[in-house]
Amino acid sequence: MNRIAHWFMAVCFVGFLAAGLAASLLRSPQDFSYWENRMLASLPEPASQSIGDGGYFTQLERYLADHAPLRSTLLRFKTRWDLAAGRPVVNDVVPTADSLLPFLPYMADDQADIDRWAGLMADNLADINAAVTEYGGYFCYAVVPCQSVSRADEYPWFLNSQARRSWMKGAAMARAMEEQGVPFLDVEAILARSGGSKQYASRVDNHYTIEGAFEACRLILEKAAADTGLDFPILEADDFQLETLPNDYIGSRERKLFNLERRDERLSILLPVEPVPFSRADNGIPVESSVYRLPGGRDGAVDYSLYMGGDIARTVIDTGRDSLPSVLIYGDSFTNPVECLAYLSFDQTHSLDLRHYHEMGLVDYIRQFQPDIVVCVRDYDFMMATDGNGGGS
Amino acid sequence: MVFSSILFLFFFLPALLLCYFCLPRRFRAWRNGVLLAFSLFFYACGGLYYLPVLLCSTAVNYLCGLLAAPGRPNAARRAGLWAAVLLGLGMLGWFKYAGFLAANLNRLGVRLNLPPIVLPIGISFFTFQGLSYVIDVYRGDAPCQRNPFYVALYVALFPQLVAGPIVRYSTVAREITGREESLSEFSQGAARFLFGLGKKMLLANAMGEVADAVFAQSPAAMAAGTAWAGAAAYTLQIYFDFSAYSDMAIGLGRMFGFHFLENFNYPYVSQSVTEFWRRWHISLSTWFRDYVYIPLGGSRRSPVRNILNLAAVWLLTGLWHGAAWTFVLWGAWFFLLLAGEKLLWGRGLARLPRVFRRGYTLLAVMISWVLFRSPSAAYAGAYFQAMLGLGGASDGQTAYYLLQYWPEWAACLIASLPVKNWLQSKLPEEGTGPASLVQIWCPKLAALALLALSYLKLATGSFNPFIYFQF
Repeated sequence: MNRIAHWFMAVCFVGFLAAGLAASLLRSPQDFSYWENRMLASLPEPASQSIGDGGYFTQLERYLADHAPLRSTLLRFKTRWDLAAGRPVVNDVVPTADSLLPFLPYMADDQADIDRWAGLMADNLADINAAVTEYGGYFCYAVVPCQSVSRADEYPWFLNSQARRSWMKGAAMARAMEEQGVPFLDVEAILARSGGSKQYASRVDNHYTIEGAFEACRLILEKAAADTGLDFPILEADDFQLETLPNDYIGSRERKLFNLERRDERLSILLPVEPVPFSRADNGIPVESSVYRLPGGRDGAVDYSLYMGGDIARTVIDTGRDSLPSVLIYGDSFTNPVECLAYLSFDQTHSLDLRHYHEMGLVDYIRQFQPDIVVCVRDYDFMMATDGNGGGS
Repeated sequence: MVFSSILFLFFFLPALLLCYFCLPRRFRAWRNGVLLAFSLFFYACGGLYYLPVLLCSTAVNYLCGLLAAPGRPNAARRAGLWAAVLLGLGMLGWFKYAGFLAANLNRLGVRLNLPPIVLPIGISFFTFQGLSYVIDVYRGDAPCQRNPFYVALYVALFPQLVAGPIVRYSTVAREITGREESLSEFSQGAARFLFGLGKKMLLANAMGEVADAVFAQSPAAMAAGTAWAGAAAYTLQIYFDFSAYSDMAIGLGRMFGFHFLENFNYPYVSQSVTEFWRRWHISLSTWFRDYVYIPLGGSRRSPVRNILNLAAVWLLTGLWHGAAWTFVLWGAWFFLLLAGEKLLWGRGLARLPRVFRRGYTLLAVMISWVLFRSPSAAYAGAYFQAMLGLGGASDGQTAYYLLQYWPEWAACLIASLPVKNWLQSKLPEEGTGPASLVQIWCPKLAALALLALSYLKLATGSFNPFIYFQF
C-alpha cells in the first residue's frame, strides 16, 4: 500500500509539472486580458544588462505568470470563491447590496499634502488658462462626481469611503483655483446642495449616468455663458427624450468580478427633441454622424463606450452654425457623455483624449484652433492628478 | 528565481528532474554535475553579475579547506582557517556592511565615499556554509573534500542556496558522493515541498499583504487595533514565509537524496524566549552556538564573560540579518531577554501557568518582529506607541484586515500549532486498517490539494516576494 501511495504521489507531482510545462509551451498566445482590462506582459528580449542584473528573469517570470495555463478560468474560480467566502473586498471591488464600489486605500487626510497637490494642479491649469485667454477664449476646469463620492454612504463602516478626503480636496482645489484666478466649477458641490449626486451615479461603474452628464453639461454651459456673456443655447431636460436601452450593461466593476456579481442596470441615451444635423470626424477621418455607438439589436451587451464610441484621440463635431461659439472638451472618460449633449450648443465641438492624442501638445492645439471655450472635465478621484489625461499642458 | 514561480515549477524543475533521473544512478559524478550546473544556473537567474562572487567564495573555501585539513602542519592549518574566516567575512562585510558603515561614519563627519554596492543574493547563507565547511574540516569533524566541484555543489546546491537552511558540511558530506535516491524519498520530498509551497502561497503571502499595508502607513495616527493586526500579520508572515522556504528546500533536497536538518519546530508554541530560539531558524542559532558562542567560552566561563559572549552572539545575529540599526536593536532585544531568562526571571517564569509563559514569549517575539520590520528605530518607537493605544483604540482598518483575511487568519492559527503532531499521536504507530490508510494517504492527498490551491494563487496573483532573499 505504501509503495502504491508513493507511486501515486510521484506520478501526480511529476505529471503536474509535465502538464504545466506542456500547457505553457503549447497554449495559444494572448495579448490582452478582457476581464482585467489590461495588456498582458510580453515576452522579454534577452539583453546582457538584464541578464546580468537579473532583470530578464524577473520579466520572464512576470510574462509566465500573466500567461499561466488556465489563468482566466482560475481567476474566475478564485473570484467565485472569494465572493462565497464573504470577503468584503474582491478584486478591488466592494460588493454592497445596491452597488459595486471601488476599494479605496486607507490614507491619512493630510491637509498640507492635499493643499500642495491642489497648488501644483492649479499652477498647471493656470498655464492653460493663460494660453486660452491670450486670444480671448474662456477656460473652465470642471470636476464631476465619481461613483465612490456619490455613493460614499454605501461603504461598510469599516471601509474607507474617503468622503472627508474628497470634501477636503474639493475645498482645497477651489481655494487654489481662486488664488490663480482660473474659473473652477465643482459639479459635485452644486449637486450636493440639491439632493446629492447619488441619483446620477452608476451602480456598477465609476462613471455617472447620462442624466448625471446632462446635469454636469448644463452647469458647465451656464457658468461659461455667465462668465463670458456668449450667446449659445443651453438645452433643458424637456429638450431631450430619455431612451433606456434594453441591452445588458456590463459595468467595469462587474467585469472585474467576471460578471459573477451583477446589479441590474441599463444605460440610457438622451435624444434631442429637435435634432441638430452635424458631421463628425474621428482623428481627421469622417465617420457616421452619431454620438452614440448603439448595439445592433436587443441582444448583446453594451458598455460605457456607448457614449461617443469610447475614448478616441480626437473628435470634431461640426454643426455648421457659424454664429455659435466653438468648444474644446478634454479630460477623463467622463467627458464622453457630456460631449453627446454639448455639441447641440456649439458650432464646432472638439474633443481630445490626451492618452491617445500625440500629434501636438494641448497648448499648441488650443493656439492653433482657438476654441472660444475650453473645458477640462475630470472626476473627483483625479481632480488633483498632475499626470494622466488632463493633468498637464 | 523563487520556488513559488511558474519558471521554477514548469521549466526549471522538470528540466532538472529529466536531466538528473535520466542518468543511471551509477553515474553519480554526472548526476552531481547536472545538479551543480542547474544550481549555478538557478543562482545566475538572480543576476549573472553575482555568480563570480559565489564562485570566488567557493574557491576560497575549497583552497582553505585543503590547507586546514588534518595532516598538514599546524601553522598551515591555522592559516587556512583564518584565511577562510577573514576572506569570507571580508567579502560579506564589503557587500553587506560597507554601505552601512560608511553611512554611519558620514553621520559622524568622517567622509567616506563608496561606489554603489549591490548585495548578492544569499551571500549570508553561502558565506556561513563555506565557513562551516572549513571549520569542520579544521576541527576534523568532516573530511576534506579534494574535488572542487563537490565543494561547489555543497555551497551552491540550489535548494538551500539563497535562503537556507544553513546546511553543515558534515550533514551532507557523505551524501554528496554516496546518497541513495528512491521512490519513497522522492515522494516524501515532493510532499514536503508542496507543504512548503502551500504555506508560502496561501498563508505567508496573504499575511504579507496585511503587514505591508499596515507598515506602509505612518504609525503616528495608527489605531492600536491596526498596529496589533500589522504586528500579528508580520509575525505570521515571517514564520510561514521562512519555514515554507525551509520546507521546500528540505523537500527538494530529499527528492535528490539529500537530508537537510529541520530548521523550524513550531516556534510560536514556545514557553520562553530561550525555547523559541531552539525552535526558530535552528540552523542559524546552532551555527552561532557552535562556531561563535562555544569557541568564545560559552557558559563555562565567569557569569560576566558568559554575558559578554551572549552579547557578542546576539550583536552578530542581529547584524547577520541586515545592516541597519533596527537589526542591531533586534539582536539587543533578544540578548536582554535571553540574559534575563538565564539570570533573572527564568526560574520564576517556569513556575507560571503555561498560558502565561506562552503569552510572554509570543509578546516578546512580536515586539522583536516590529523592530525587525520597521524601516528605522524611530518608526519602531512610534509603532510601539500606536500598539499602546496612543493613536486611538481601533478603527475600521482592524475590522477590514480581520474580515478580509479571515480564512488565512484561521488557517495560520491552526498551522502554527503542532496540530499535525497531535493528530499523528492519536493514531496507532504501526497502524493497520483505516489508521494505516489515513497515515499513508492523508499527507499525500493533503499535499496534492495544497498544490492545486497554490497553483490557483500562483496563476492569479502577482504578490510573491520571499522575505529572506535579502539576507
